[in-house]
Amino acid sequence: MRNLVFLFLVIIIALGHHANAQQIELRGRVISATDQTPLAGVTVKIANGAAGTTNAKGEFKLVVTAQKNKLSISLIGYQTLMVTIDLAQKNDEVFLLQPTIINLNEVTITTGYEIVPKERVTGSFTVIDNKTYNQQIGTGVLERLRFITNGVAPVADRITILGDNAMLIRGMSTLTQNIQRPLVIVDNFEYQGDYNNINPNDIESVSFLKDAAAGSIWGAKAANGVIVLTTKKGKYGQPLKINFTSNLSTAAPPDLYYDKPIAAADLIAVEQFLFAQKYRFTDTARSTHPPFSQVYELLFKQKAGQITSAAVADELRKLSTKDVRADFANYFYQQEINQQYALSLSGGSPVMAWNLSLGVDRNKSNLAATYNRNTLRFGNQIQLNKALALNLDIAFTNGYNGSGKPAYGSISPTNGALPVYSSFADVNGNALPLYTNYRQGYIDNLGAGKLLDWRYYPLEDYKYATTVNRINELNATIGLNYTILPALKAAVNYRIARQWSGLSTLNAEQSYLTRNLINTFTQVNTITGLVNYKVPRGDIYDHTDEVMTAQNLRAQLNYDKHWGLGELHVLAGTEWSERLLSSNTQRLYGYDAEMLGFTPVDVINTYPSYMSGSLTNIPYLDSRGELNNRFTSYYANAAYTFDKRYTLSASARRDASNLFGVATNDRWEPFWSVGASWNVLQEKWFKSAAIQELKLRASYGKQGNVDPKKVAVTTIAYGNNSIYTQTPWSQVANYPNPDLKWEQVGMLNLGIDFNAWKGKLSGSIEYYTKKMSDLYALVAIDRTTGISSGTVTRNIGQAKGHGWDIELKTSHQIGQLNWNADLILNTYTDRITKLNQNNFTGREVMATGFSIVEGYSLSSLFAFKWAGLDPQTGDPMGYLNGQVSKDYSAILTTTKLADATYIGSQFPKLFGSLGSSWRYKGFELTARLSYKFAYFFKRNSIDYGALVTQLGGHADYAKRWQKSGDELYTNVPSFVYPVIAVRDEFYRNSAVLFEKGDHIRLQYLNLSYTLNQSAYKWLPIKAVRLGIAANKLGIIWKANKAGLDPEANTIPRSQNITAALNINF
Amino acid sequence: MKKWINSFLLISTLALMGCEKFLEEKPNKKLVVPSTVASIQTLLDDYSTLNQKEVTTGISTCDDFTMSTANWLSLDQNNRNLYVWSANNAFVTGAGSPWTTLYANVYKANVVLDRIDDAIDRTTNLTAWGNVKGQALFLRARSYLNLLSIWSLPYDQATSTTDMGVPLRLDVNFNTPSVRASVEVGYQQVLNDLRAAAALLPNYPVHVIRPSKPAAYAFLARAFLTMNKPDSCLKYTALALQLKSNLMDYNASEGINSKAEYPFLRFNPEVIFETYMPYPATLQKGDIDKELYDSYATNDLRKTMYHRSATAVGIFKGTYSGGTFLFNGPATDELYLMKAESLARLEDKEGALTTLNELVLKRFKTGTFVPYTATTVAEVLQMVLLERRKELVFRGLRWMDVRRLNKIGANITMKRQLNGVDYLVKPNELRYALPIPEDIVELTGMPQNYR
Repeated sequence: MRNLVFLFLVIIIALGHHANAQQIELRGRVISATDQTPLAGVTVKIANGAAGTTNAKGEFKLVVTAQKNKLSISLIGYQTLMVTIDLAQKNDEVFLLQPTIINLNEVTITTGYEIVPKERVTGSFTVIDNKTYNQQIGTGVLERLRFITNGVAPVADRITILGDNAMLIRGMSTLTQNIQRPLVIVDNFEYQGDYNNINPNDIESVSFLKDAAAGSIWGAKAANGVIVLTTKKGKYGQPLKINFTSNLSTAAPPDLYYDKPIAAADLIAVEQFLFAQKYRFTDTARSTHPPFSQVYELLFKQKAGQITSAAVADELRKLSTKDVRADFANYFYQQEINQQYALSLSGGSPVMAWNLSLGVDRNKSNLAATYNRNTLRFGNQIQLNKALALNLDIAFTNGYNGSGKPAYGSISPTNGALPVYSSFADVNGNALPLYTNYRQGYIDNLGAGKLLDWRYYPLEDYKYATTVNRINELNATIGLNYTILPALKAAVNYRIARQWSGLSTLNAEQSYLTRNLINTFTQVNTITGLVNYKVPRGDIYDHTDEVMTAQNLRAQLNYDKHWGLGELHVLAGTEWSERLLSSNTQRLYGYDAEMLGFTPVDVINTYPSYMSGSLTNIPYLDSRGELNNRFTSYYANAAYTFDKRYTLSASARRDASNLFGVATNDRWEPFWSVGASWNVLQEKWFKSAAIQELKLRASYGKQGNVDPKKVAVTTIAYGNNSIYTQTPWSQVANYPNPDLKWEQVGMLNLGIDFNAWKGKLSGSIEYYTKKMSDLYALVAIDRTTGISSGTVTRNIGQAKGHGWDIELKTSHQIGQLNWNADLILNTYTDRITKLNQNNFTGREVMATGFSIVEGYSLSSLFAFKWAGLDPQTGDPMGYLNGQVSKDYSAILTTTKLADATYIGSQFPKLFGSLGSSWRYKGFELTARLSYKFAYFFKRNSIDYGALVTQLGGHADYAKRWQKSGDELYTNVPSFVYPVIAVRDEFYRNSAVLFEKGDHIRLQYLNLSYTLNQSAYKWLPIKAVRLGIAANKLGIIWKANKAGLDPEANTIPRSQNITAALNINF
Repeated sequence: MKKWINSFLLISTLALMGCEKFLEEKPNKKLVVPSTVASIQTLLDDYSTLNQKEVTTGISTCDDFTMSTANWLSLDQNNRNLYVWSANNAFVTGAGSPWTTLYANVYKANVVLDRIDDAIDRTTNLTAWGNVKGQALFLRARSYLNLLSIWSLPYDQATSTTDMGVPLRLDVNFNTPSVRASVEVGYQQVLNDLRAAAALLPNYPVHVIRPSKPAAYAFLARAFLTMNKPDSCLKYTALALQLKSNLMDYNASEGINSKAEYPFLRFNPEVIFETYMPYPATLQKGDIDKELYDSYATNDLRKTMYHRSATAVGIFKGTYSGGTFLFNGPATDELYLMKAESLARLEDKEGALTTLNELVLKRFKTGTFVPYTATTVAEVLQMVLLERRKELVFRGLRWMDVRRLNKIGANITMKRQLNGVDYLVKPNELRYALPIPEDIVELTGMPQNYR
């Protein structure tokens, strides 16, 4: 690569040396009008034929004979400048070249199909520039977009069904979670790999396409909005630029004490009570020897007279002081440290532009898990001749994920939760066993030395059970642009992306999983004492190899014509894509990582389990898979602008996919949009010195979603072959559901863009309404039909949504102080307007997830009405047919909506952020607050069923009703044994457990100092910036009094501090 | 430049034409529209669903075991209720209920029956085609027989046309509402399906994990026995025994490893068709009924090969599944017992005794068995019924037996004593039809069983 860079430098310098001296010398300098950088390789021509090019400093010299000269200054990507220079008047002039697309002070929007100047836009876009994008530092490419994007709601960690770091663009457009995600585009095409493969330092800007006029060009996948990531590119004629970034971040371990498990003393008391009830005594006789807790083992010893009551009391007292969270914090959690380095180079000659970037990430999580990433990206644009240009982009990523230590909550016995009084080490730090599968005492001495140690040691096990995921991705794009006529251009683009990932888990012989399997299938000859291992000694190695190959091909015609006052821009094209995913999983037994040896095992025949004698097969994990998703699309987009005042736009697209079992004529689905804009500022009658921009926009269009369950015939999915008949077996994959129609989303968007008093107040205000028709939802179905999931996908009805996206910016220069602030204010409300069937009752509505009820939000929460605790028994009370009732099972199954309590929306109806930055000389301080209002969440509380069967409880146990009168102070029901499951279920879904989610958070605070060569001439480099950034600083106000983070799933994310360095050469 | 436009148009046209072909590729190699006999067969070979998740209701409700109050209290609510034949909340709602399991099997059978007649290679694979169809009919019939024995009253010829049975779903359209058919219609459907299956199934299956002719005959015999029709029961028992009659000698035989923890091997020679139940939570906490345990003679090998002791909780080891699962498929020993019972009911005292002795001989220590003798048919019947209970313990048949026997005057009252409270089901009580899961009643509006 270094040679390549050198070669480019030579070319640039060579191109700069052309002029020689004669009679009159015409000198000048050409710079870019946008950023004032010198432009190299600019062709400067005089009418009589003398010509030259600029050097790396943008300077040129021409030998001329006349005083008056007509100059033509041209460079690809810039508008040709025609000027007349009278040398008698002036020489050494500086010429400003305007880029072809970018108009003065204008933002451009990249849709992935074209680059449109903002003034011609009719749809709704949010553009994140590079500076804003980099205000939050992190490894991921999408994480940085949270909280800074107008119209986009970052989804709380608590709502896990939408995935990690999910974002909702203008609310939910579907109730089907697996088709809920926005479409992500990198440059021209949908990105099909792992988002972690993209180096965020390669991103120049991001466009969010929020309405139909913006997004419908992307067709069937765009109903939830589109995110277009544009990578950094070189520019024609740009001298070499080198930029180096280094970010060193650290985050404290999570606060495990945020979690509120039942107190150890309380848990011990519960266990003593259960022991007195002879709970689980029968398990002592079971041939599988299930484990018991430490408390139970002590009590069993006491019962058998092996230990005195005093000693037991003493042991229990010791246990009651223990807290397993301390062991997790001491032994497993550590400071998280992430290092990120990025180097980018770019430059260009008149006919070629290039960029090269390298990225290195070295992350160590707070559980010592490793993530390493190396990225390399090279882009090149070559103007082959006047008419033909070639683009070539290649990106390579190498990623490595290595497992770390076990997380809080990930260790538990197979028959319950990890009791809070557990310890992983004794006072000397030696690893203590945890009895997860089998009983203490029984397995301690089992096998008379013929078996491997059968105990599990949490402190040691992760060292021997390691998972590694290696990802390599190669992504190459080649594009040809041909100018057929000045107004007509043709482009063909092709991308191939291939991602290889290898996920492997090595369970060494010392690991519990391996020891357990070997022991289970060990046969000891009682006479000879010989040991026969049916699962061989040695390691167990599982690996899954996956290869993803995605190909996209696009052919497009662009027509751009100005005549008179009008201009017409049309594009039309076709796109074909394929995503092929093949996977292969295998397990090797008796694996020797050194010699790559392994031992075949018999998975066909059954062998008696050493523990129970029950005949079982040795586990067999091998499988193969091949998925192939294909799409073809045809699209067209046209915009007509009259007199720079009025713009009309329209777009249409048809998509088809290879969805299986769908009738052919159902495969095609059209999407369309129309839009108009009015640039008031361009009106002759409009004269105001105060206003620099005023534009009104309106658009309407339709987008859609298709659910893969839309099939006309029963389809089945094959499993592996049956070990009995050696023939394949299958299960029903999809029930015939031919009546299902495409889900449609129609969106109307009205917007105004303005800029007054030269930036003192600028921004945009948008109002939109959405109409979602033929919404898909899983509808409860009588299981007598044979559909055991109990749900089928149906077009259940219609919904409406509307909201405001408001972004206000202000910019002030007060002496040397530059102050910028922006306020993002979003509202979104939706409502199900019509349901085709309305048989939702009790349980279905209260179930976690999203309740579907006519007249209420798509994300509504409902609960059972709460009538307090019974003063006599402490039982929770609800309502049945208007009467206070304790008939929980009737309440659960028959509660009608009228009897339920509507809590509110799970998603905030009002949200956004407030950002501000202050710049004084080289110092810059940036801060952002985020806020979410008008939403609710459900908090956890005690579940007595889980307490008894799992020993997992909530600290609310201490607040439970214990005697008459307690009902005045608490809402936590009394503990009753035997546990009544429906009583727990009623309490868990009752109105008393819901909290207001409203909160304000300090999202980040960045401080930086920049040294510029322009200010400090001695600096050997152009600029250097040093910064410190603090992220996820925490809640500064919240509505709930329970001390809960309304967004956290289990434990809130911890604060993160970054030291950043950026150098421009 | 026209050239360029023309070629672009040409390419677009070609693209449109190639498009349908491009989209014909399957999105998932493992997805298939079941259209050949072989591909439809795969649905029935889903053994982990169709053979290994049998419902355990008939165990939890039967009187072959007892439970202490402490153990009963430690059960979850549904199992507590089921154990005392409670009128509500006896089953979990949703995906885990036996109602769901059985109707999912019915649906699978219906999918096969919906596709099989249109199989594209039907004519070239006629034997395989018949086999697949037979398997589906067999699956549907045995699922309905199970459903009827749990959620409808025992068969009674006098009232069967008016007694509420279970909804009969015979096609794949999930939009058809579920309506309860009469008990008579239900049993006729079972018999028709089984007869049709018996005609189509092979004499000997590829593996006993798949049904066969003798399996269909055995189920026909079971169905007629439940309907108290000994002549038909006898007919089908005989037909089944013609094809498969091996009995294992418990002293030593293929299929037996008396030293092993679980002495009976899977797929042993007596197994006609293998299905098994997971070990139910109720039985895990129960002890075998004392009286039943004591009824095994000292030299009866079953006493030690089936049971560890009378109070050995949750470790019944007499299952034919070779492990902790409870075998509930038809086996030859059940055929002998059905034959003996039918003969006795048809007043053939000697025939019944011979058949019974033939079986029991192989269950005693060699040389210790004194053949049963009796003076009256009633005596023989009592012997057969006791042997039936001892031999087929924990195969999920006892509940069915109590139901049918009470219909013909056996006068069996089942009783649980818990916490000083007696829970009883008297003969022919309405509670012999267990409560339909509440969510099903709520969603379909079908009538709940009477109390």
